[in-house]
Amino acid sequence: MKTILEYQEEFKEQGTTPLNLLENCLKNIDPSLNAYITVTKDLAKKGLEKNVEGKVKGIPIAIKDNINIKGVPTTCASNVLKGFIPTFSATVIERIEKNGGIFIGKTNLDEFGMGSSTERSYYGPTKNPFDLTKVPGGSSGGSAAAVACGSAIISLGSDTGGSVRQPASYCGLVGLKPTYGRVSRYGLVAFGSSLDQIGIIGRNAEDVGILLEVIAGCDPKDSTSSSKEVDDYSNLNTIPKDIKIGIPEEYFKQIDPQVHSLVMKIRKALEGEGISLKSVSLPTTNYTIPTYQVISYAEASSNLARYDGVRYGLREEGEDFHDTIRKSRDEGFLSEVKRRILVGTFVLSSEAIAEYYERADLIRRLITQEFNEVLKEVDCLLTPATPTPAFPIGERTDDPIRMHVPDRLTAGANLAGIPAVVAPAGMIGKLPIGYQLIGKPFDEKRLLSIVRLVEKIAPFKGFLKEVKDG
Amino acid sequence: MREVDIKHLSKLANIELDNKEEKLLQEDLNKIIKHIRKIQEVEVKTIPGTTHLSIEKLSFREDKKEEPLSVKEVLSNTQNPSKNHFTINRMINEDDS
Amino acid sequence: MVEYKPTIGIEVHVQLKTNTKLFCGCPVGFGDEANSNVCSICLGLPGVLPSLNKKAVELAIKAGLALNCEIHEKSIFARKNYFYPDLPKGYQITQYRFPIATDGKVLVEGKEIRIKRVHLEEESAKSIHEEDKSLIDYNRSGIPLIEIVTEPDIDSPDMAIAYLKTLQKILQLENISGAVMARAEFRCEPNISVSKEEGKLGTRTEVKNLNSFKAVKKSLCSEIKRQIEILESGGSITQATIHYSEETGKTWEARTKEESSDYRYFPEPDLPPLVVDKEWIEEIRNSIGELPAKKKEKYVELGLTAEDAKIISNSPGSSLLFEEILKIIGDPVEISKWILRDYMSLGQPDISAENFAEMIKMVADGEISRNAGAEVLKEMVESKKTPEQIVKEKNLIQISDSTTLETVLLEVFEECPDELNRLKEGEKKLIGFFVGQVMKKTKGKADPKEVSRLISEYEKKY
Repeated sequence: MKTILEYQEEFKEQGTTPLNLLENCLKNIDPSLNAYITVTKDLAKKGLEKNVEGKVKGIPIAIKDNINIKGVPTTCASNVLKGFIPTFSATVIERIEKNGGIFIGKTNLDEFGMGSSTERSYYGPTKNPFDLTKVPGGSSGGSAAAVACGSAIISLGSDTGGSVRQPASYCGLVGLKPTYGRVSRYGLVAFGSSLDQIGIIGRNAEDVGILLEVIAGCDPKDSTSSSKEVDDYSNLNTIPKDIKIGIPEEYFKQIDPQVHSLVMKIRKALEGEGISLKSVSLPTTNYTIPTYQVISYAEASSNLARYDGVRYGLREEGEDFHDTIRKSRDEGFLSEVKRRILVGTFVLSSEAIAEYYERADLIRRLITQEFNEVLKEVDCLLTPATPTPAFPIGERTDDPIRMHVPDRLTAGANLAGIPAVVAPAGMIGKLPIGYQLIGKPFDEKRLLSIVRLVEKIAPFKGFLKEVKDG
Repeated sequence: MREVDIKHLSKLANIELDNKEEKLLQEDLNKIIKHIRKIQEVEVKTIPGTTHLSIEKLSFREDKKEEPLSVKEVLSNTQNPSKNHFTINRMINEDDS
Repeated sequence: MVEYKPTIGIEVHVQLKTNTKLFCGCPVGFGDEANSNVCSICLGLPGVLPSLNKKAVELAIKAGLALNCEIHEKSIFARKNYFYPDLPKGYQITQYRFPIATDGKVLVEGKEIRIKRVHLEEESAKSIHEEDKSLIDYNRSGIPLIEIVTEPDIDSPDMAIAYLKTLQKILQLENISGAVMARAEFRCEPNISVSKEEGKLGTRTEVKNLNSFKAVKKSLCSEIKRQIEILESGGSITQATIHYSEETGKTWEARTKEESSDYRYFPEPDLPPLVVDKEWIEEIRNSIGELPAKKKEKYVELGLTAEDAKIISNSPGSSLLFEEILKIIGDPVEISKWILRDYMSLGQPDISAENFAEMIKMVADGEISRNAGAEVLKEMVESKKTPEQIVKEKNLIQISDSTTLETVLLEVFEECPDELNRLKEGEKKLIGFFVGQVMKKTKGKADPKEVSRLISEYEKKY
C-alpha cells in the first residue's frame, strides 16, 4: 500500500511512471461497482502531459460528481442536470491542477448529496468493493469505492451530515470533513450551504494531509471561507503527550456491540501511548438528526430552486412557464430529493418557519455551544463512525427515517462547523468499520496526527487491492 | 398536529406531482415532520442570538471589472436559444419586469 | 361632505453607480448585446457563490446618510425565494429583517417624509415578450440596487412627485445613481389608500410599471378616483397590484395570481453578516456633509454672498443646476440671482441647464430684457421649448436701439409734460416713471438700461 510520497519517490527513481500509475488505476476500474459516472481518461492523460510540478504530481484523483471540472459534465447523479457542462472549475480543482494532480473520473453519489447509501442515483447504485451486496455508504459512495478498489489513489467528496465519513467507515478508508470554511465551496454544487464542506477520502492520514494542504485556504470567491493560515497537514509525526481525548457517552448508545468493542480497542491503544481518555457528555446529541434535517432540507429547498430547465439541464415543455418548470422538476428529481425539497419548503413556509426553521437554528447554537464547552476540557472526541458496518443494498431505500440513523454520529460536527475524521478501526466479518475523531475548529493537524499514530500502533489490515506497480 | 398540505407545498416548490406521488409523499412528509417535531421539546428561550455561526465577517470585492463569459458560453447549456436570448414559453398574466 | 384623504407611501428601486454587479465582476452596462455581460455567478450556475461589491456597500451607506438614516454596523443578507425566469437562482439575495439603514427623513416642500429603510439587493434579468414565447437577457441580472421605502407620509400625488424629484436629485448629486427612469435606474412603486376617517387608513393598493413622473402622478390620481368610486358605491378595496395605461390614463387591478407568494425569507448562508465599521461610515458621512459646506465655501469664493451661497448649496436641485449652468456660461453672481429669485420661486422644476444658460446669456447680452427673461424661464419650464423659440414666438426681442427708443421717449415726453417739467427741475426719481412709460409703450420690450441712460443724458442737457 503505497502512499503519495512513496509514489512520488518512485517517479523520481524512475520505477513507476505517472502514466503507468494512471493506466493501472484505469485497469482497476470495475464497472460492476458503478463507482464512476464519467471516466475522464483523456483529461487525465492531458494533465500528465502538462507535467506540472507539485505536491500531488502524477497522482490520479477521483472527484465526486457534484464538484465542477470545466468542460466535463457535472450530473450530481440527477436527471435534472442532463447535458450540463460547467463553464468553470471549482477552486479545489484549480488548486489540484496547479499542484500536478490528475483527475481520473467523476464519481457516483446520492442525488445532490442527499442520502447515506449512494443508492439514490439516477445512474444506479454503487456497490461496496468489500461486499457487492452491501452499500458503500453515501452520499460520497462512489469516491470511497473508487479508492477502495484501487482505481484512484485518493478522492474528493462532500460532507453535509456525514457523507464523506460514513462511506470512509464502510470502505475501510480515512475520510476527513474539514472545519467549515477551511476548504472553498466555490464550484461545489450546494446542498446545505451552512453545512457543506468538500472532504477527502484516502488510504492513510498522510495522503489526506497532503491533499488538504493543496486544497485548503481562503478563497475570495467563497465568502464563507476562512482566512486562517493553512497548516502543514502532512507533517503528522508528533503529538504532544499531554493531550486529552473525550468519550461522549451519548455516541455509544444503540451501537452494534462489535463496533463498540473495536472502538474500545482503539481507545486502549491510545491509552497505551500515555494519552488520557475520559468520559464526557453531549446531551443535545438526541436532537442532532431533526435539527440537521430541518436546516439542511430548508437550505436544499432553496439551493435546488435554480433547476428549472431555463438556462441548463432537463426541460420538459409545458403549457406555460410555470407548467414547464413543474414538469421538468417532476421528471428531473428522484423521490428522495423531492421529499427533502418539500419538507424544506414546509419548514420555511410562513405558517411553520418559527416553529421549525428558526427553532432549529437556535438548537444548532445550543449544540455548537455544547461542543465548544466540552472541547475546552478535552482536545478532541473519540466516537464510533457508524453504528453498524455497511448495510445491504435495498434495506433502507424506502425508509427515509432509518436512512438517517448513522447521521446521529456525524451530523453534529457539521452543525457545529468543527472538523472530524474517520479512520479504519478493524473488520467485522468481511466488512471494515471506522472510528471517528471530532476536533476543535481548524485543528485538523492534531486529528490527522492521532490517526497517524493509530496507523502505527494498531494498523488496519483490511485493504482490498494494491494498485499494481508497472 | 397540523397536517402538511402537500398540494400547497408542491405549488410553492414548483414540482408537479401525480396523484400517486402526492399520496406517497403526503405520508412520507407526515412521518418526517412528526419525527422533526422532536425539536419542540428543547428549551430555546435562553439561547443568545446571532444568525450565523461563522465568526468571520463578510469580506469585500473591489469594484473592478472581470471578463464575463462569451455569449456562446452563456448559451452553451440551453437547447433553443433565440437571437442570443434564452427562451421559455409565453408567460401568461405576468408582470413585465 | 367629508372628503377622502389619500395616504401614499413609495418604494423606489435605485440602480447604484458601480462598475460591476453586486455579487460578481461582470460589467454594468445598458443596451449592450444580449447576454454579453454575464458570468457563471449571475447566471446562477450550479456551484457558484456570491462575492460582495465594496463600492455598492459604500453607495448604499451614502444613500442612507444622505437620507438622514441610521446606518447599522451589522446587517444581514437574506434569500427571497420565488420562481421566475428572470431570477436565475430561484431566489433573490436581498436584505430583510436587518437592512443596512433605517429611520431616515427627507424634507419635501416643507414636510418631513420619513424614510423607513434602505437596503441592498440584486436586480433580476430582463425579459421581452413575443407572441408565443419570452426571451430572457441576463445582462441586468445581479446589478446592484438599493430599495428605498418611505412611511406613508405622502398625502397627495403632487407631493409624491415632489418627493421623487427630491430623491432623484439627491442620488444624482451624491453620485450614488444616475437615477434616470428611462434607463431603468429609478423605479417607483407607490402604494395608495384613501380614507374618510381621521387617523384610520384604508386598504392600500400598489401601482407598478410606471415609466415616468407623469405616469406616477396620473396613475395616482386615477387610482384615487377609482378607490373613491368603489367606496362610495358601498364596495371595498382589495389589496392588489394595480396596472396603469399611459394611453387610457386608467388604472385597474391586475389579475391576482392563484397563490399569494410566500417568500420564505431566511438568512443567506453564503454571506456572513455585513459589518461596516464606524470609521468607514464617518468617512462616507464626511464625503457628504462636506458637499454642501464645501460648496458654500466655493460659491463664496466665486463672489456670492455668504447668505446666497448657503441657500443654494443646501438645495441639491438648485446647486446641481447652478454648477451645470456655470460650466456653460460664466458669471456666477448673475446665475445665482436667477436661481434665487426666479428658479426657486417656481418650485425648482425640471429644466435643461443649456436652455437656462442660453436665456441668461440673452439677457446679459441685452437681447431681451430681464422681465422677458423671467417670462422665457416660465415658458421653458412649461413647454420645454428653447429660449430662441420662445423669444421668437412671443416676440420678446428687446429694443436696445437708441434711435428707436429716443423716438418712443420723445413721444412719452410729449404725453407727460408735467412730469417732464418736474424732471427738469431735478426730481430724479421720475426717471423711473419715464422708463416705466416707455416700457408700457413698447410692451416691455425696451431695454430699460438704455432708456434710463437716454433719459439721464436728456436730463443733463437741461
